[in-house]
Amino acid sequence: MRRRIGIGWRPALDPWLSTFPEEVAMLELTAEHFFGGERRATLHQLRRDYPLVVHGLGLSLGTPGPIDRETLAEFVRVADAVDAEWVSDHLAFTRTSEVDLGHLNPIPMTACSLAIVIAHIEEVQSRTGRQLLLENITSHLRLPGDMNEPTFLNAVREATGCGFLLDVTNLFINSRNHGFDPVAWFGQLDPTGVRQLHVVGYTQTPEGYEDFHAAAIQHDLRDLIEFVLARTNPDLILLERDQDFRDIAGLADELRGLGVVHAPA
Amino acid sequence: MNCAVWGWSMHLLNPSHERPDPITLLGRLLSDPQSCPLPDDGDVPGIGRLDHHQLERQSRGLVSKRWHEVRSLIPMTARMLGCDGYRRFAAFARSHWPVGAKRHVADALMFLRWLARDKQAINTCELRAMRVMAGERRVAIGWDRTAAAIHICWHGAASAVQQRWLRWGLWYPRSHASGGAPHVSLSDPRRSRTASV
Repeated sequence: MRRRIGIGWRPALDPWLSTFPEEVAMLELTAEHFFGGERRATLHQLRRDYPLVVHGLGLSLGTPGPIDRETLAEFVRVADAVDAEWVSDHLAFTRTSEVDLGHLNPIPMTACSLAIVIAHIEEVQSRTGRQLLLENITSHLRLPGDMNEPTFLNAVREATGCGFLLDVTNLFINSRNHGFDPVAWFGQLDPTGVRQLHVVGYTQTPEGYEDFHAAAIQHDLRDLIEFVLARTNPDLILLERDQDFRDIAGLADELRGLGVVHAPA
Repeated sequence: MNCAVWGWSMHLLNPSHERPDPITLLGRLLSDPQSCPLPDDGDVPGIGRLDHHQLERQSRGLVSKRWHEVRSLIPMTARMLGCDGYRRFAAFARSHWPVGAKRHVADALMFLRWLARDKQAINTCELRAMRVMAGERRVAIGWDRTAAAIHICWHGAASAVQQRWLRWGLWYPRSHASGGAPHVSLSDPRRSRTASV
């Protein structure tokens, strides 16, 4: 399959996307934006206009016990409605049996967590009838565990046949905030599993690096993206912007730039 | 005391209580790290050795992300709170955790009520809008003192929440007091182009 360049769908991008810009070959939909039957017309329009993949934020694959029935049912409904080529969610937990934290948190890399994540991914793949791509998150919290993150991801892939959604920005941010070598991290990951990349510029704050999804890709991050692309063959490279859509021309430039990075020699 | 803290306290008081799994324990710690002491490392290996600074920072990040969503839903109230907004929200947030697909709306609604109970001025139009968005009411009507108009809010087509102001027999799409209200919808409160809350 040829590599494609895409962008995460956001309502503010609708006017631009309706012109079918040549820079955008594919869109990623956030499943939760369409839960409860919201935006049904938009969903059908997007399906007509673009190839789509569906990205989840709240399956909470690391939580012990069953996946939340309602969340999974809605996730499947959205994936089916747009005939998603694949689906994805994070190696993380967002809720526990007691509290719904609403956002992504790291899980301990232990044999127990591995069994939980494998069982949940098998269920999601079975219910959706699609391959799930597992995404690495960024976190301020480092948890002790029995194995490192790439080893954990490889083990999940081996057991479930899932793929990876490698968020290069998250890898870069974690490496800076926690002081490790992203190249060495990547060197331990099975590169054949990488089917999609997430990229977006990072934000620097007095406390460190953050993933606000609001900045253009910086040079040092671009170096890491180039390194990854020289060693993987993802089907999709996706720009993940959530804020600051004022400069659509700049966004288009950034997408064209990604096309140049990934172009095969 | 929120339920997470309550559960954790009961665990401390009752040693025979079933040992929590690491994710449940992390949830307790992240929901309110100041109230939940780190457990003995023998209880849940690794958790007792967590860096408290990192834990606090991760927890702050969760609250910041919630505030980002909530203030986009209730911008007038956020403006009224000024630079004190985040601090007030943080004080509220660690004892209130919304659930469900409309959690950001539920969060905003709970926050408005929490402020009102605390005698803090809020924008009542935003309170009505949040009640409709949360599904508490199909229609909400009230007097907007600032705009000197009747404010009506209802569920419109495509699940978007609509609102109008009625003054001297004329309908206005937005309150003059709001100076051009933010555009929100249920599915992506930050960036709808159609709704007019």
